[in-house]
Amino acid sequence: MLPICLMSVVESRNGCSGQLELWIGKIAADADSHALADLYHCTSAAVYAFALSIVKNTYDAEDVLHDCYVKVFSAAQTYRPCGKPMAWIMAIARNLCLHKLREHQRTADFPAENWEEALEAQETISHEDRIIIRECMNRLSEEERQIVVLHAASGFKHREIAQVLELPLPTVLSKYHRAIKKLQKYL
Amino acid sequence: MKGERIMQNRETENRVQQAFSHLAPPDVLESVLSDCQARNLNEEKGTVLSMPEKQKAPKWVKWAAGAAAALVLAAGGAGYYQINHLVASTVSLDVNPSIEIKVNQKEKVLEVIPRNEDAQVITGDMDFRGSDLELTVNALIGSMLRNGYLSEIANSILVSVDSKDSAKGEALEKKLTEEINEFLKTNDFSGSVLSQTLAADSEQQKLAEDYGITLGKAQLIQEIMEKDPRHTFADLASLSINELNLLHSSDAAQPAVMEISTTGNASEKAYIGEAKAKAAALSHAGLKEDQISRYQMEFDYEHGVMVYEIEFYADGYEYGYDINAATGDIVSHERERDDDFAAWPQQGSAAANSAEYISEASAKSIALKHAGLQESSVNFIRSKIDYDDGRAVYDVEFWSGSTEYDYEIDAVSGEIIGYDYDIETYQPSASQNGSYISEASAKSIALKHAGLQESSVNFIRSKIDYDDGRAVYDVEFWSGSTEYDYEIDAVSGEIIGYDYDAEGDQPSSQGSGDIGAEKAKSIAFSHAGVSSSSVYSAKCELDYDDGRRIYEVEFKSGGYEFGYDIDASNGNILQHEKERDD
Repeated sequence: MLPICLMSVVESRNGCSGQLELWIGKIAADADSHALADLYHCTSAAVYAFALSIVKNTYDAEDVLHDCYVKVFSAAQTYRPCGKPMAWIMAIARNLCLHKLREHQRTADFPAENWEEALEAQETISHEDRIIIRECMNRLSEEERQIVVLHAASGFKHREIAQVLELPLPTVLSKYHRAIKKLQKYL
Repeated sequence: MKGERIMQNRETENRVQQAFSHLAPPDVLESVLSDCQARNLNEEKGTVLSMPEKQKAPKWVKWAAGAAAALVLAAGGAGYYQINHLVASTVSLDVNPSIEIKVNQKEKVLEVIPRNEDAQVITGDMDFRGSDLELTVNALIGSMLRNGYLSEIANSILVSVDSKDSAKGEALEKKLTEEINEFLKTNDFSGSVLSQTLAADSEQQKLAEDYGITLGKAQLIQEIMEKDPRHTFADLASLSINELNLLHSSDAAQPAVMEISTTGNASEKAYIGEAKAKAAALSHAGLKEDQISRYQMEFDYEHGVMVYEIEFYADGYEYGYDINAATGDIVSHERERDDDFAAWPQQGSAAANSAEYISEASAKSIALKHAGLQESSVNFIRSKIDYDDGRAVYDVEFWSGSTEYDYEIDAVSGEIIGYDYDIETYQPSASQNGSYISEASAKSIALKHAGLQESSVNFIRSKIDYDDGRAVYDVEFWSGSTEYDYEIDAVSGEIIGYDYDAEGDQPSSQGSGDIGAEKAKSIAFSHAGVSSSSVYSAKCELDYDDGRRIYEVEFKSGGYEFGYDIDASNGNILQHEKERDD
């Protein structure tokens, strides 16, 4: 049981992952808003996808996205450079998502799951993309969805996912394979 | 066959990745930057504000805000009685003594309630009614110092403020923290004050009552669990505020959502000290101080004891140790290959394609040899080949006594890539479980359902867990080569879900006959105890898994979703699942 920090994130696909730590360092040292903006541009898509896959509605996902970077800004000094900045950011995002869900449980005012309308409105999303996201949202269990989104959309290794989600590695592997199988069936 | 499946998986992965990468996030950067700037300015001025909420409230809460405002208006016109006799705020102090102080709007004390035996020692027969809150707090802290509850080895105080007026509550929290710090300073005592305003819900209230602790402590525990959900409430409820403070401040790298302010540092004098713990880890690893890098330590609570959790890197490996903080014993340790280490040969995909794997038996014996154990003295949980980052590894897991071992072994070279060793000595404290059924009854419910005797199974774990806000027992055990996993409602004893996995099965000889999809379905229905007329959304597909032909049968019935894997050659149920259909 090692904490989040032992994780390493696969080189992310947009090629700026090498600079994440540098930016967090700048934020910590001089509250550098340019560094925050760079960090945001590089990572917000992954954070948003992950948040949406948990909270399933765009209002909450947007709130989480916002709060996540405010938290990154205010907590940058507590980040210990160990080569796993993306995992740190995702852990913050996940905490905020879980907090949202609990909040709704407490007040019983569940917002509608409106992700489908939101997808319709986006031009960047092709018809095929929409089908894939819909299958992920509808066919997969909560855990399966988080695992698939972290692996496919954010490039986390299974072992890292196991640590972020606090699940045993074999569970992550079998859930992941089952999820991919399920998706294959419908795609 | 396997290669083809891997290709298909890759393709699906790529499509999912593509789809999500096209999902454009809303642009909230500007609002983030302005909030951060505001926060920064405030910090420069030396005022600490709580995390700024996003300006734009989601649409569905706006009416709620209106309703709340109307309520405030209705409550206007407060009279003399309300100002003097109604409880406006409740302040609780936790050290180990837990004391609650109720005050009116003018912050005069209405009542002081000792919440445990230690607290009765502190309050004695002092009568605080009508006194100033600050005076009262000082008197109580003074008494804790005199009675030794606050000492060098336990110097942490938790101050929780519960006020109907949240702005007032926060102001009070801040004032009391300053006051207490000032008081401790004049008494030449270096303490650590944790402070929070309460936002307790009914769930927290129930937990606090069940465990006989204050709401303040319950909230602190939940805060710690939020950052590290591996902890259980029952574990943490038995810890002192000083221990909780150590855990809380130690997890600072994982920011939490609710904010608890801390001043000073929790005492570590009850423990062997970081230096000794580090030395124990290094000596076990056979390394010297100058050989390691990226060293980290944090406090954690594992296996029922406070531990120093130590991590470092050396020679391309990541090491992790849990050291008992009081005794210096190594509670668990692991070593894993650091994938980022430049000097490792890149054998990734080449190895994955190579057919020259060592046998599973040799992988097992490599693991056993390393662990210093005989095959006869261990109980294998699983050993299987796996693909990790494109290279083939054997994942070998086994138990010996109460210790779990987990090895990852390179399938080509036989090299041990990682291992993990864990003593499961933890015995849940026999503390109040409220209205929960006992762990033993959860086990027997699971066994009864599986139709097995306790003597014929091997328990992997059974622990209480919080799933979707409800407490469940997670009971896992093996019988022969079959793994069972049950989730049981901790209050009602109802089986929420179960999972059964025949792992060790040898692939049956291929191609020899086929039971047919209809037969597969009827096997699944009859095992699930449902009639085909009550089944809907049924699917049945032929698939290949590990070289074996299987029927995958899925269907819904009676509010549950069922999934079966059935061996196509002989109709054996290889795996089945039952889940609530949400």
